[in-house]
Amino acid sequence: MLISSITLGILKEIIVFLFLLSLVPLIKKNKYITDSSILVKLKILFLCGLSLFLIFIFLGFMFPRGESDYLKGIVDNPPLNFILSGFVSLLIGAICIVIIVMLYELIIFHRKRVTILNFKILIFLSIVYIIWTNFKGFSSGQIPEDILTGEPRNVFGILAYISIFLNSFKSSWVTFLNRKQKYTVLICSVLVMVFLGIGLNFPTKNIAPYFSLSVGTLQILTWYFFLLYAVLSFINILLHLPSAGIFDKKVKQLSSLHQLSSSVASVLEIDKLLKEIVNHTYNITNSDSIWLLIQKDKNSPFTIGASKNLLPEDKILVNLDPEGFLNRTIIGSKSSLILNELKKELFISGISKGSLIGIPLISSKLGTIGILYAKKNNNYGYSEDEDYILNAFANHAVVAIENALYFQDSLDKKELEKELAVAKRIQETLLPKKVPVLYAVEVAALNLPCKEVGGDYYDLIKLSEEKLGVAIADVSGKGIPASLLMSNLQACLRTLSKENLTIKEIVTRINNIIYENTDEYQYITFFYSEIDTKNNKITFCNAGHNPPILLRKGDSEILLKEGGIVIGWMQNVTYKQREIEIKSGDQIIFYTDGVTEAMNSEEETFEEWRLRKIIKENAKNPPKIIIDEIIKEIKVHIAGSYQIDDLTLIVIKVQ
Amino acid sequence: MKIKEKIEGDVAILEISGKLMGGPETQQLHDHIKGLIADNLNKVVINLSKVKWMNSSGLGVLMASYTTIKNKGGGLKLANVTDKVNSLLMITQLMTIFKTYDTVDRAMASFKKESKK
Repeated sequence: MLISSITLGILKEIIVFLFLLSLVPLIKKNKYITDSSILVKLKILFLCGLSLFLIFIFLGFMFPRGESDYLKGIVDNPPLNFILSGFVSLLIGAICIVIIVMLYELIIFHRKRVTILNFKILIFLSIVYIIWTNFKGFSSGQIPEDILTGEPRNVFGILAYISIFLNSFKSSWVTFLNRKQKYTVLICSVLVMVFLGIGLNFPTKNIAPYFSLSVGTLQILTWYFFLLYAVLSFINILLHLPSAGIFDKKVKQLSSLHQLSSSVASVLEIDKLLKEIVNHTYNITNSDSIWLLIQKDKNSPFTIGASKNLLPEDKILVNLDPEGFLNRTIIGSKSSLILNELKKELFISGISKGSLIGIPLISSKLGTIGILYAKKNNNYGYSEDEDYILNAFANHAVVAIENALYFQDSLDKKELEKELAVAKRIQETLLPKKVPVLYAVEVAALNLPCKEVGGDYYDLIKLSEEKLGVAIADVSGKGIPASLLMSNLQACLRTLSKENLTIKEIVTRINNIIYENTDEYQYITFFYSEIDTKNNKITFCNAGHNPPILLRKGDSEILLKEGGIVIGWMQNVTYKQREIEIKSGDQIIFYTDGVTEAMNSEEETFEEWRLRKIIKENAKNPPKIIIDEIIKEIKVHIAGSYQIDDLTLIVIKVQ
Repeated sequence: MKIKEKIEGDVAILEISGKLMGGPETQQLHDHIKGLIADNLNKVVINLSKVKWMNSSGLGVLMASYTTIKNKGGGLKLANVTDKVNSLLMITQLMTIFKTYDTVDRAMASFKKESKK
């Protein structure tokens, strides 16, 4: 009976030992521990510790210990002893393994190379220690003293305890708890210390070895490991508590920065973006009020792009003038400005205590495009640290603003392009499609519209076989407004030129009609003339247009100046007209300011004298060639720089 | 474009620097003058010595300003007109309308003479 009891005991130990060994792979080498799983692990640990404690209390009541024979009742019945103590052993062993696994996963959070090795050594030493206690127990027939008392009395035990001590120092997960969690874990660790500490002084703490030597050894090791880890974590948390608030803030700042970076890509509406920047700043700094000044273009005053919690008292500080004291200082220094005591530092009535920080938003392309202000209602509210993070934040914000502005720009441009295409079509329909053919004059005309449709207009009206009406005009402004005014002019001219009116009457009437149809900024420089080949004369009226040049065959020039002021600006203007005799071989050159103002890269214009020179040199050439020569020379002059204004040329040669 | 304002007696002197090339920027000049008129200042001298360049739209703004002031019974005079601006005024024959002076002081003096009459 005694032999079978020992055999059963050995069998039980082997089963329990193999069971424990089978659980060792739960300690996984390549396990990634996420921040969020830490709390779950701590919860499991706490519950396991609590259940272990409760099991021992329960066992203590069930089997009041009386020296070594406290299991008297069941020792006499080996099979029952086998099943019952086997079950209890497995239960306790499983709980211990779970605790060790959880401790392991906490320890390897933010692991270093030696962390896992250290733990492997601990596992190895524990297994060796368990084998030793079994050996000692069965060879002596008694439970070894050191697992009963928890005081190691041999080299294996001592080594295992040293390894536990070394492993217990790794608790870097503490750093990543927020303030509230730190307090919770602190209280829990105190509870664990109390439970396990009380447990150590319970007579029942040594009950496990009576069920199984292996589990007994494991349990005493786990117990000390857990207790020591709780103590060291407790100390670690205590050390981290003062910085817990700051750490929370840092996390918030970082996530705000991160969110802003994603906004950079997504928010393209400028107003929405500015609002987000203000909200993020609010989150980063815990300020009481925020406002963001933005300057849409240089030299214009600031506008409030967005603001948050702006109270009437704060508005005293908001200054939209770039030359205002705060703005000027920040723009000038190109760095942030901190005022720690507003009341003392600013001398502005109505300001009570508070502190202020202003960060310039500096774009690499556009310079300072805005200033971000944050205010706290307490003095000395902004630390150097916040200054630093806000500056980093501002750099992100600038990129986002630049993007949004650029996007807005390209939208505007698209709209403008559409408008210009319409204007261009209107203008094209207004200009004569063919040059009229008259017996006594040779006519050539050219209109080179530029990219941005300008307001050049000309007309050649065949009034009879001997009479040609020639008009040239430049409507101020560009785009659709200019082309509409131009079509207005064309309609007037086409109608009035066929009435039996004098030139000055035509211009006077057109002026009054156009005046009705222009806004205060619009006007037209207008020249109208009739070339009469029967009577050999040109009659003209020049309303503020570049004077056409009449080039006599004999080399002399006459500028066709007489008339009056530009049309469309004032009502009832009196215009003059002039009549000049023309002879065979005379040339008349009409042009718009696109010719004389053609500019090269040195901002030097083509000027009238160059035009006259070319005309003189080509006096004998037909009109078509003269125009070609002028264009050629203009192209040489501007030499690759783009044409700014559109230009128009008409050359008429009297046969 | 930048506008600097100085008031001497009942005359406002506006010194403009930069380019008068139309667009919303040039529009500022007209808005500025509207502001002066709202404050009952309708004698204005525009100092153009620092205007490097003016195009037809810029001239349009000057013309609109002239109209605004004239309608309120005031006067607009140009001082220190550069060659570029001068030739533009010549071509458009607006020289007959705009009164130009070599210096701001002379423009100021002409205002004084007018008020004595």
